[in-house]
Amino acid sequence: MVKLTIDGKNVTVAAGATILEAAATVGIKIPTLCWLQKVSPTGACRVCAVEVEGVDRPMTACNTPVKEGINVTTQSEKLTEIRRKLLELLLVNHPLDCPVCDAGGECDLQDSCFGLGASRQEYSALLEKRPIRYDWKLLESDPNRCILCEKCVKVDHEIVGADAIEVVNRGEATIIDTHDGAPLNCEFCGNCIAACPTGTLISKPFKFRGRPWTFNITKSVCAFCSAGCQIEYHARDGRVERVTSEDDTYNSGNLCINGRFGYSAFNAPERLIIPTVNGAETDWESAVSTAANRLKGIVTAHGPDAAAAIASPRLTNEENFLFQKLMRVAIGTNNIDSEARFGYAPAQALLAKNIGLYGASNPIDRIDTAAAILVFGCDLNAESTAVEYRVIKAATKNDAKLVVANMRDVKLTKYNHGRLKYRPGSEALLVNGLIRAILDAGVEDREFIAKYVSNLDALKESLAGISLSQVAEATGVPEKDIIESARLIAGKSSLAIIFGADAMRSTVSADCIAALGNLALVTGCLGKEAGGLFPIDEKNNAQGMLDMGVAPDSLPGYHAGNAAAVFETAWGAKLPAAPGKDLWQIVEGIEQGSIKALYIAGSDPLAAFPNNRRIRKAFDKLEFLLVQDSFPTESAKMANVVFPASLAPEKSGTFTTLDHRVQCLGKAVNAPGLAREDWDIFAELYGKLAPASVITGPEQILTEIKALSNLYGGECSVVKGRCQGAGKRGFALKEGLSFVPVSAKSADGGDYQLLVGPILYHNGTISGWSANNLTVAPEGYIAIAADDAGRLGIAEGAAIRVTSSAGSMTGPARISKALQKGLLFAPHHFRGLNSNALLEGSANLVTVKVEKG
Amino acid sequence: MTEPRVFFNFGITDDSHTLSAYRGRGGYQALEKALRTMQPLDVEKEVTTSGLRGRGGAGFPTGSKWSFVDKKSPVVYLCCNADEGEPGTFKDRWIFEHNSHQLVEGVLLAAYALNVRHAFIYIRGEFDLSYRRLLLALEEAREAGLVGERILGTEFSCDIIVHQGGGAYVCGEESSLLTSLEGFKGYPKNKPPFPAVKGLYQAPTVINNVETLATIPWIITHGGGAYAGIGAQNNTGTKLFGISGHVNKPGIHERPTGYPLKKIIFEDCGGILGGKALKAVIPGGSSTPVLKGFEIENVTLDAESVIKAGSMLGSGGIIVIAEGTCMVRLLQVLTRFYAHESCGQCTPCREGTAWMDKVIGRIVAGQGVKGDLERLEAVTSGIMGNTVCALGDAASMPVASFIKKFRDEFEYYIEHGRSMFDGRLEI
Amino acid sequence: MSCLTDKFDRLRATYPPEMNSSLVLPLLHLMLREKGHLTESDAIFIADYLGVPAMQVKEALTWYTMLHRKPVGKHVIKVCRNIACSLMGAERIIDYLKQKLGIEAGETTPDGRFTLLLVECLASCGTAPAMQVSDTYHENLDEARIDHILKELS
Repeated sequence: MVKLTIDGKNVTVAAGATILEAAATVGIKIPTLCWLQKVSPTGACRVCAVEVEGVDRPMTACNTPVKEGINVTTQSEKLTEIRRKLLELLLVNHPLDCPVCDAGGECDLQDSCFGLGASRQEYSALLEKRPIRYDWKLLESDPNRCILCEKCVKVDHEIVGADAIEVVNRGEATIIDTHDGAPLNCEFCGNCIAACPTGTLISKPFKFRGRPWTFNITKSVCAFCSAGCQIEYHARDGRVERVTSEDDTYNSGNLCINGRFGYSAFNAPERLIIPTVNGAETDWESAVSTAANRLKGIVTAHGPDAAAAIASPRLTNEENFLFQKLMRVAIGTNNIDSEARFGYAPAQALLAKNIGLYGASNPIDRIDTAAAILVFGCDLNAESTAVEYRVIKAATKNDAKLVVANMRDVKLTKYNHGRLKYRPGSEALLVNGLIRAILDAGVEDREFIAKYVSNLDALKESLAGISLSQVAEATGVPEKDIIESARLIAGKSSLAIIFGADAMRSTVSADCIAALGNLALVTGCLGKEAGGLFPIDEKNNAQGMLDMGVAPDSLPGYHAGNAAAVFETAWGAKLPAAPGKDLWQIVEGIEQGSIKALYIAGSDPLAAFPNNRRIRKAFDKLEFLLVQDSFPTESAKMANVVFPASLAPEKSGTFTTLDHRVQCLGKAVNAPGLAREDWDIFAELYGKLAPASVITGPEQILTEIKALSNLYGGECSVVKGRCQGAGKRGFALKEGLSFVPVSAKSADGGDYQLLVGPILYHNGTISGWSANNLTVAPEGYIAIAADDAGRLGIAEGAAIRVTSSAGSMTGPARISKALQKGLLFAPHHFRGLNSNALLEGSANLVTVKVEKG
Repeated sequence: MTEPRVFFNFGITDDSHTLSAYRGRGGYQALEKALRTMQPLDVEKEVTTSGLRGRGGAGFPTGSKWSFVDKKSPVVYLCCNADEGEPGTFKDRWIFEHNSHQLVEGVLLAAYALNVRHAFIYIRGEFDLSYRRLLLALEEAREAGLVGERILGTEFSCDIIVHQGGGAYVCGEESSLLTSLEGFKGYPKNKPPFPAVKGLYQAPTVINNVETLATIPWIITHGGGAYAGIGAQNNTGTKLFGISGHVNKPGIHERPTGYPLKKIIFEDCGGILGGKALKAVIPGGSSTPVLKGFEIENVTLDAESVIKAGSMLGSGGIIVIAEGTCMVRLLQVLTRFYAHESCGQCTPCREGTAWMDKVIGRIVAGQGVKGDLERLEAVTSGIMGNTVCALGDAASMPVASFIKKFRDEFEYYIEHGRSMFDGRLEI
Repeated sequence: MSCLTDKFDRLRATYPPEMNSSLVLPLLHLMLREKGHLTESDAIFIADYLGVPAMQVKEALTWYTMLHRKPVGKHVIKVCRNIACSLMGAERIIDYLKQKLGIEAGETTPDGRFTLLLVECLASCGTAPAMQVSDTYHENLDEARIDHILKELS
């Protein structure tokens, strides 16, 4: 610890702290302009100049480390004069167009000048006008307003890792721009806009929408991916006009394109605003009565199991809870499932069985401090950008060793220390190879294994049949890379294992997830302060939805059938005795005619689900299809009754992140037209089906969830103005775990395999209605490896036709260096391309035929 | 001449720069002596005793600079600052072109004293013959076992890497040089930490000027005491002075410190062009404050004397200005230079140098307004002491001193919209 | 690009391996000699080769004045305009060159043979005025010498 004096106050801080940080500990605020806590100090603006006794030059507090015994003065006439002069120098080049500047009212330069009384453009001479970059998408840059604090560049480089903008040129010619003035080509996260202290970088869709103080600001939680970034909705006249995030949030103010710009989906002109029955617009009373009568009729005629439901990870916990209760109690069937069936739910069930883990084992901020990180089968950039930021931070600022296992090159590969580019279908074998290499090197966590796991010998025995050379042969990863990666991740003080869709929806997913569980135990990555095991889902409330019992075989809180009595008592009704059908069984049931009525809320199976031509055919056989959604989806177009529903900023309730943080939504605007909150619609239908019930709102439902789930509890707690809604029991490591037997299976595809998955610029299908996202990524494409394209004579942008046993699609080719030979990739967000139709089942990979389109 | 010479001690011929020629005049004997008979600390002691002060401009005692370095650190770097860019300075070029081996030997001696395995010579990217001569010298030295593994068969190994700059004056500033050498645009770094503690790649690093390092062999051969006996008391030794501008015989002269400034101009350089009167002298490179002709009367070429006269000895680049030169337009040459060379990082320098240049430009264009001089003075005071590196000060000092010393010329220009001397620079 | 990477490899071998990042400027210089001017893709090529962030190389490319970002002529004439050369007639020399080449500073002759650039101090103060043609220094310039130099290049 270092002792020093600041403005006469004694301060003790850790060695290495800056004078600015030391001052903050005793409540002394030193003015800053270019300083931003979350990036490295720049020291460019010099506004934080302070005097240190015995040093003749003023020192910059933001980047000068403390020294034992120094005496610092932060306020003096001399310093005020220096600061004022600096601001005047900044102002000489500043256009003072505050009346038409979007940052007016939230401009650090304006505030600083006001604070220091700098109001003159003392050196006024001719201003050189620099061209404003109107040609960028979503962002606009006016370099005339720039004070070169470099915050935007540092955020872009250090946090996002996009390297899209840079400090160009030298001296007075210095500007922040793209290289050679090319149009901005970046992740369009807009984090640079948030960092900009002036109106240099502004949001185009927000430009001239209004002065910052004229909006109603509502704290809420992002409704796109499962990381649950904390945001603010800025709304006026019933519209969300922008989304921001403060630097003191859990996500440090960092968002992705979906978080910052995806809001335009909420304002989409296509929004459903009126209920329909058989395509005709009607009022709620008639729509709900029609639905209730049709459902009752089918149940009466064919029994409750003739009805089924598909819920959604977009719905709140309360809505999902109510939906499954409606199906189980008011209809009387366990036939409820969701898209989590394709990967997240079975993976969760496996890890729950093997390790007792439902979701992540630690909060995601423990990734920041992990000593090593393995990102397995996951394009974090697309699946959860917020988690990717944490990995970048860990790898670049906290010296974490990063191993990226992915069949494609992804953004994170530029940071990796170890790289495992495996053949599709060899995921499980690769994990087992890693385990083998760890055990061979003797770098397993022996202490952890001795305490928590009983059968290391059995694992060794079952691995005996798998040699590293065999793994290398089948996975295409050189043996030395497997050994090197094993050394990088094992034997460290902590390890984060992050896995995503390519693991959970692999063609060998069960073996892969089981092997990842083994890997977690071998490396002892569970139950530690840092690191952990982190399954990633693309959609915001996948975890909460499963917590709420949206699955045919589990009640809220993962209670199985034998806990039914508790629920029966509470709900005053018998729970259905027959086991429910999961998603694919529901589809089969419809095909076979045993399921005649289907209720879908917040999902579009005909666009967002795999093998959806099969599903479309099945839907043709339905007697009654009820769709509750916010957009005219493919499924809604086929529905007998459509209920218009609200989106995240229009509702109350809670979402649960992948790492068990329960956060309240803030209702920022009312739903458009006659659209209603999903819980409200469920409640009304519930009332029609079971007249005794009275449901008053999300709070009442949350109380019930807390009472019954044995998972959620506690009072609503408010931290920094953000409501947590409930606490949730996290993962507790228990002794007596076992390794599961190892499989050496590796799936082999044909010459060409198509991977279907998300891309950065979209999230699910909602962003497909967002004009902002569509500005950047308007349409689907089919990425193909350069070698393959050459062989097939396919040029960039030319039409390419890809066919599987389930369907085919034609789209523009994009030649990619990230893909290995024989692998194609198509984003799954686009209704037009409908790449999901080619998938044969839950797996995100399918053998295909490729030809010129 | 009876005075000892560190540099000008041989006749320049077509092959006087070669290893054999250098050896013929006793070259690399200092290295032999040090490696075989001296401990690293002995070398440092000799340098400390010599009183040698850095020849790059700041004049920091070399032995003292070396003493700050933790020689037990697993890695210590030595960087020779050969980014000679201070206008008016051309002495390092002379060393490279005529006696690169002397520098190489100096680098090796410093490396031995500081426990350096890899030394770098950061040379101006524009240099052509200098660069080629240096590469040639290194190749010869490598072949002769003087550079590389186990030098002269001893335990001492040192590689010397020549790194070319990219055209940036600020890279002559030591922290900027290091950033540049690390592969970045050459933004200077905040100090502390100082390079001796955390320099190149966070390792302790010594940065010495070419002339400084090339002096070391002489010191080791003749002893620090002998060197300390030359020249002025607190600024010992001989120094290379480069005289340019309006003199009859411009060029490099090696003189003991304490040598009269007037003598070097009027005797050694043959006086002022066309027999004109001396108007002004910039004594130590373009950044140092200008002195009026009469002010140099008793000035001698050592730090103390020049400071007393109101300027600095700097790099020893003496720029001579004859009567009839337009000081306003001459200042514009300098403000344009500093605005061009400001790195762009910190506000006071980036904005300040540009605005000084704009205001001077306005005056030169005949559009100066009343108050411009006060405005310029205000900008210089806003820059001085408030920047990351010394470039801000370097840019401000000429402006402040030109206006102070030749205010009437500036006022005349503003009032009449034209130069008092027809804008003449060339005489 | 493979012959280029061979040259890169040779240069890389002269630096200690832990100083990979230091090669940014040497490689930019090398590439400049090969290509005449450099663009973003060249910077990215170097960044990928060295495994350093692209931004680092791109920023360096725009910051160092010797690195041309636009095509230049076969012979690049760099005339010093700093203090010592100014005192010895740099303005006269520059005007003469402009008139002789028929271009302004910063421009390239239509036949692509000459680019005229004004540069800061070349450390030729004692032999002013001075200029550099491509790499070679020419000092103590006057009109006759310039005529001669340009003639030699023809």
